[in-house]
Amino acid sequence: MSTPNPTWQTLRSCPLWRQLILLAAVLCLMVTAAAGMGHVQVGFFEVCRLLTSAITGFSDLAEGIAPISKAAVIEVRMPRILSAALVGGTLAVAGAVYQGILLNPLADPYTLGVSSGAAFGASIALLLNVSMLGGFSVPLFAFVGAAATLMVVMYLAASAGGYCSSNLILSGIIVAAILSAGISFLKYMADERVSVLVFWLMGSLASKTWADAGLLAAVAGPGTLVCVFFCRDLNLMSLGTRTAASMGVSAHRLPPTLLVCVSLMAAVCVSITGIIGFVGLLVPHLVRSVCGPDHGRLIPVSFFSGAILLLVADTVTRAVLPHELPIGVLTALLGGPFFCYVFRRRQMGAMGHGF
Amino acid sequence: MVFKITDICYSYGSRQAIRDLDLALEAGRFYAVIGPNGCGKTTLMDLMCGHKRPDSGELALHGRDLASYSKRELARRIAVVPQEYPVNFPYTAREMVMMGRYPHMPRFSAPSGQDFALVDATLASCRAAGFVDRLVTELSGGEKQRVVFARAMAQQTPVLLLDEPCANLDIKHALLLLELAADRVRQHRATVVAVMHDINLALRYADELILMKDGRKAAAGPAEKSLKPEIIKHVFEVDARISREPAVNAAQVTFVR
Repeated sequence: MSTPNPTWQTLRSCPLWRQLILLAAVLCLMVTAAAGMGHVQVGFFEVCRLLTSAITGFSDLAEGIAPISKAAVIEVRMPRILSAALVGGTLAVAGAVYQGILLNPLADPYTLGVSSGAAFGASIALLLNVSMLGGFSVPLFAFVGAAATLMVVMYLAASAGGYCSSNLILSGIIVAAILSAGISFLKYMADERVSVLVFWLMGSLASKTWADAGLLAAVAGPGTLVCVFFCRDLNLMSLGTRTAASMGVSAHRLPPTLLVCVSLMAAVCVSITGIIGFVGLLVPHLVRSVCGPDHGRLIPVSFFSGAILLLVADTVTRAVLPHELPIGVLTALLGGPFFCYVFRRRQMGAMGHGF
Repeated sequence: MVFKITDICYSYGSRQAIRDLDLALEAGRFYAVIGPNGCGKTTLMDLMCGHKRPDSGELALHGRDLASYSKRELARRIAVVPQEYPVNFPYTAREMVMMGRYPHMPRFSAPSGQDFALVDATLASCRAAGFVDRLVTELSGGEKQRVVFARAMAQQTPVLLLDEPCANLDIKHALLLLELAADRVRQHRATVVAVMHDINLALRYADELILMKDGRKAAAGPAEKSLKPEIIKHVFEVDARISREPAVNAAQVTFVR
């Protein structure tokens, strides 16, 4: 029964806009720094000049910078960097909402089987070598797989009184188990092409284009706004459906609406980058333990924290490590043990702290 | 008339929980709902707050069908203290009571100074001022219950539905909360409907009793007139003696067997 320590209290009560401006500034700084790192080194201020000239359209700002630097920063690195940030932020927001609706600390953007569905769809596309839509066929199959899985899981979990969280989680686990058996079967059938499949499943941000980044932004922006719109309803939901309903929440309609919204957000992320685990589980937990559980703060702060985290992780594998590691492997390898540490320390500190 | 309940029925599958219940509740009255376990008290609360819809019959609030109100409109008129109140995330007591103000706040505006003042005053009146900044998940059962009660009070509604508000409280805090609810009734002409297990507390604070058995109304009316040993025998299957206790100026029941 410890009283909260002072730094923790200040972060919890510090004005939200100040926190968000600080996080946005850190994110911008990271984006600029990351754009200069890699095989072709570009100075920090050259990156600044390149970016401002690209945004404002004043081409003389970029004068005197080697064309190869310009190509590396604008055409190759920026789409990948922005994709990393958007995927990280989207997965973190999706995780925060999943945990808020399902009231389960283990919930993450993939709880309802979205990742297995996407993986199954992508496996089929890769195995059958579908190429009718060019580069977009695998993401499209992945998205269809994720969306179809979501519909099946929601259908299984629906009962007369709406959706209860244990039914949703159980249905998600069952469907995911069936799908992962299906994926194993596809791997077995794939023979020598199994490596393409395995690599896709591990998740990667390599060779993302401006079209990918644009699509992600088009989904992440509105999706996050929807979640922020319902932040107070999410707070009330954590007091139980009966109380939430008596305080103005449509307790039967809100969970399916938000679950579909964030699952689609996660499905788009998976279909573009493959499965990147732990960001959606880890970030909301950390933010909650620092800033408190108020969703009005949790959702936007999680977005920026997730963006920064995945951007740093991706830059480490792209420009710091001698060999590029699949990003999904890196997030799990670093995030998992860190999560264990945080979890254990909390257990030692205050028992019954919630999560 | 605040609530007009006509012939409502509600069943869970084949089990009838509420049968042909009629009630008329007025402003400025404290009603206690008493009856044995499983007699439909909590279901009645759920029906009155709009959480469940009756299978048949009519439920009108201020002369309008309850189902015609939006959730938000209802939240400004009816506050509920439920029997169970899971708190799944570590909110502070103040954050939680502030949630009682949500129905009155526009969606994107921050709480005003007035809201903060009201929340702190409500917490103080529930003797919870000592732990406003503590996490609700770390509070004891009784402390948590006071915070939940404060949240309902901060909602400032003309109707207050309490489902066993004193279940986890020691007698000192039970008296305090019932006193606060009774104050609401006297000063703001609120309507309080409380499910209570302690008949003596009900006799002391309620203006009217509603006795239920097997989903039906067994008796209803002004506290001392409606409660007779025969009715207690019928509803609870217990022999009782009723006497007047001058110290609390109310009838009190002694259970003989």
